[in-house]
Amino acid sequence: MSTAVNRPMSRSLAYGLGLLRLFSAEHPVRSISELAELMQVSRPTAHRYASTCLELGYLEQAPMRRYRLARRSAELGLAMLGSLPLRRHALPVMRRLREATARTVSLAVLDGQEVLYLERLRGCGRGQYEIDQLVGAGTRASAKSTAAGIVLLADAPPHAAIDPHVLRQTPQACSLAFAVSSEPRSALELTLPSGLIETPDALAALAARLRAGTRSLEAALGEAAAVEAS
Amino acid sequence: VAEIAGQLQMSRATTHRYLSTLATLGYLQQDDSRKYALSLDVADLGLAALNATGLPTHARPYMAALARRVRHPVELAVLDGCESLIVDSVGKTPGRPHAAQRPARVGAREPAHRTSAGLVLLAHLSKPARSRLLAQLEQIERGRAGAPDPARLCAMLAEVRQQGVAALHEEAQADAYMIAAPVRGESGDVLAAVGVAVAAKLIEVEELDDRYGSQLERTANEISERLGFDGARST
Repeated sequence: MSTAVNRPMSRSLAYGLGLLRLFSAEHPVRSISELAELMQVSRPTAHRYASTCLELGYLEQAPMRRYRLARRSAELGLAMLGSLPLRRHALPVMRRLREATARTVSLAVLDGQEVLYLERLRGCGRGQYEIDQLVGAGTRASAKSTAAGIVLLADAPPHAAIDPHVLRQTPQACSLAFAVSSEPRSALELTLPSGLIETPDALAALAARLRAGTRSLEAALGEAAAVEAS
Repeated sequence: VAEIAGQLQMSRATTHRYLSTLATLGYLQQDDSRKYALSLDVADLGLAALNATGLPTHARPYMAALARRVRHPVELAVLDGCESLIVDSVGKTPGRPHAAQRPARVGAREPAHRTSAGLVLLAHLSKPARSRLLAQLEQIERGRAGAPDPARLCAMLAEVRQQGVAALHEEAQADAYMIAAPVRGESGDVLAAVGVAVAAKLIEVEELDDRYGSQLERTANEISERLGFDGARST
């Protein structure tokens, strides 16, 4: 593990967090030998870290003496989401958009070459369960493969009119993103253009610009819908 | 640093070491006033895995535990358009004369108002979404036997919201009753309904809540917590 600056480091803390990161959607369950190999430590050491996480409630025992993440391991992420003003302000708008369209509405920010979903309110349209079931708050996707990501990468001009920006289609789902500007001073006042709510068939996304502390967050409100069988 | 050291009852030096470890690993960021805040990377610590795991995978251990306790099949259903769709089922108990004897029904769809799970899911939708689905249901069911009376259905849904569970004799399973309760996600929305199916000859539908209601609700709450729902925070 390399450190950019010469700051004091706690190896155990780094290992402990590294261990939790080894659990993913692809590998929800891990054995001690897998953990030891991936962490490049001995099995007793891996066992000690896993037992500590188990004791603290971050891991739970899975069948065959293996481990999986426990609910508590998501609490840090949930706390992060809860602390974001952007998400708080966007939620009422997202709920209105979902009510108007019955489709899944998501809020995403660009993080490197990926979009990170900060919130995803599931729609109840037919076919929606199928496309939504593995995507939720905290999941990442390649920015180039999502409408929200493309809107964010495109860096929508500050005074762009509401304009269909991107139509993205995969075998199961399509989503269309609109770019909407927001003045820096009103960045937290996300408002839904009145026309949008009256056109339930429009697949819409709002992109908003937010400055949070020293870090500029670009967010997109996106909507995904199942492709109608035609 | 001082605030955190105080809360954790650790020395400032140790606290500083932990904080700078977290900052170096990208989990914390420091603002201009040198205060720390959680960074977006924190989502990778568990939230991503949590949300990238299918609903049935999360729910299954809790459903299996309930099925063992009540000795009846337990099902998980979601709303898909105006239908309830069964996405998982555990505890088929072959050879048990007392259990509801049915094949696994994963993938089965029914108009939502005809199933207990569907009633729970409809009951917790926002008002506009519910009105839209009820209008669709009315259109689909028009002329069919047992078509819902809109006023009666609305009253039933209000009752389900108030009671927390729905119990119904479902037409799709002639010999079984079903009682269902809501499962919530992190945002507080109802994502699914979990239900227990009981052979109709064993019990009266009115008794379902007394016999299974509290166990079922406990299971539904456990699954909701697993999905990130925090009752205290969301109320």
